[in-house]
Amino acid sequence: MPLDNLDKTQQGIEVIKDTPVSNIEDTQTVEELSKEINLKIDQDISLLKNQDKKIGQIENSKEFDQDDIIASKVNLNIGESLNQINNEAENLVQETKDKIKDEIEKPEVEKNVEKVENNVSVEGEDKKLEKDKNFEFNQRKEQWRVSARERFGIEDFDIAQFKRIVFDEDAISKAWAEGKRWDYINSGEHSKKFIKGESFDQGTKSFEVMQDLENEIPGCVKKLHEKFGITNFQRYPKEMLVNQLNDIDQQKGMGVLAFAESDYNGAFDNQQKIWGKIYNHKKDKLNFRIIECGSDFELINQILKAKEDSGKKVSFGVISAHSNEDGFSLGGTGNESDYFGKEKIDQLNSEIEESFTENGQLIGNACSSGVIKGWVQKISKIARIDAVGPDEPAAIYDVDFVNDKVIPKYHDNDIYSGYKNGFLLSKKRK
Amino acid sequence: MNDKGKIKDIYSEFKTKITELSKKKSELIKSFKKDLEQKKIEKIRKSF
Repeated sequence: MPLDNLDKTQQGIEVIKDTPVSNIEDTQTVEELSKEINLKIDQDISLLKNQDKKIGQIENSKEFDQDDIIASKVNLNIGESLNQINNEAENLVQETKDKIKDEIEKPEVEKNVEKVENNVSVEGEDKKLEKDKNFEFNQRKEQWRVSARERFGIEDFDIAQFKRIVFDEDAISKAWAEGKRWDYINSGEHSKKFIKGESFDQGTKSFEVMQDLENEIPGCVKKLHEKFGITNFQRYPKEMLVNQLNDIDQQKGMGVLAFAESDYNGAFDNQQKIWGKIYNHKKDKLNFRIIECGSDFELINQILKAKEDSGKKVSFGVISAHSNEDGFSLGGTGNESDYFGKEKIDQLNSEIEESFTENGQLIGNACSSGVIKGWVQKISKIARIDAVGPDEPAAIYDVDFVNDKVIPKYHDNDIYSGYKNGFLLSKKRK
Repeated sequence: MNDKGKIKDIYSEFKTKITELSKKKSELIKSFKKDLEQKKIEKIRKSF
């Protein structure tokens, strides 16, 4: 059917109508109103996305020559323009929903504060603590706003604006278009809660470290993100982050601390001292590089890049990720590329072998990674290195040193297995 | 202004912006189609 015979909706050229808000029924409560408006927002974004179908109809139409279609798409930059509009709309939806949520929460917090101040003795201790927490939470949120206003001149602070300032907007748009990462400040469950205003702990810490880093070296946050994939700045010692931006000392070996981007319970947020201790012990002999990876490709790519940049294979490595004996998780999207399991280790056999120095050391900061026939043993065998990991769900809480080797201590029972070239070398029981 | 008024204002602002984006997209689609139609006409002319 010729395109002009379709009605405007079918043609995809019908635009969203800017209907006045007075048409919205004045519902009983603020909550009901916000619910209704959130539904309307979802309908609007759905209508906007529906317009994309028109492009598909034109592409599949026999009215036009396929070569012309391709040429026009390229000349008019159709794909990228559509992506830009959709990304802008997604941001707008998130910002608007956040603002509505803030409006609903405001009166509750004020009420809570009043009650805490005036009626403390009547309230139970638990309830008082809960209300103090609410108050503190909103104070912290306010601090973000003040900081954003003073530092970046943003009057009405929101996270989307922050991202646009600190990071490269194009890179973020691209990642969103690929559906790869939902945000660049934090990852997984924490970030979602953070953006919704439900969990400020990780985000605030990350923001503070970013600010400190920026004060010290303007532009370094962006560099650390682009070069090494760092998004969770709160996890790492600042000195190490700053140092890895310097030129590599070709006389030294290479040490890589690889972290999964995703961390659903904040397990990697309190280990800075451990990395600092290792760094201080080995920095005269090793260049250190912290990398953060959301997929199998990023991990291998970053490790190979470390090798390429330093001209040396990795002689010391740590993998920090949520894990079981068969493999570990990197991103928070649930895609196949998030997971690095034994099968993938087999597929990437030669890349892994090429990455490590013979007799190097790998530490699993990952649950159950040290179990016999687990992934740590497999890497030890393939790369011909010493490798160690806990035999149960546990992370590192401290380290010792024996000569050049790092001996990790694991929560809570410190049960682990160590391998040399794949052979069981040591086993520690409680 | 009461809370309901503020929420309506927030939505109103959203609606204006999303309508603009929708118009932009519509213009893009129209340009795409127009460009193809132009190309088609040129080909027909050349064939005479």
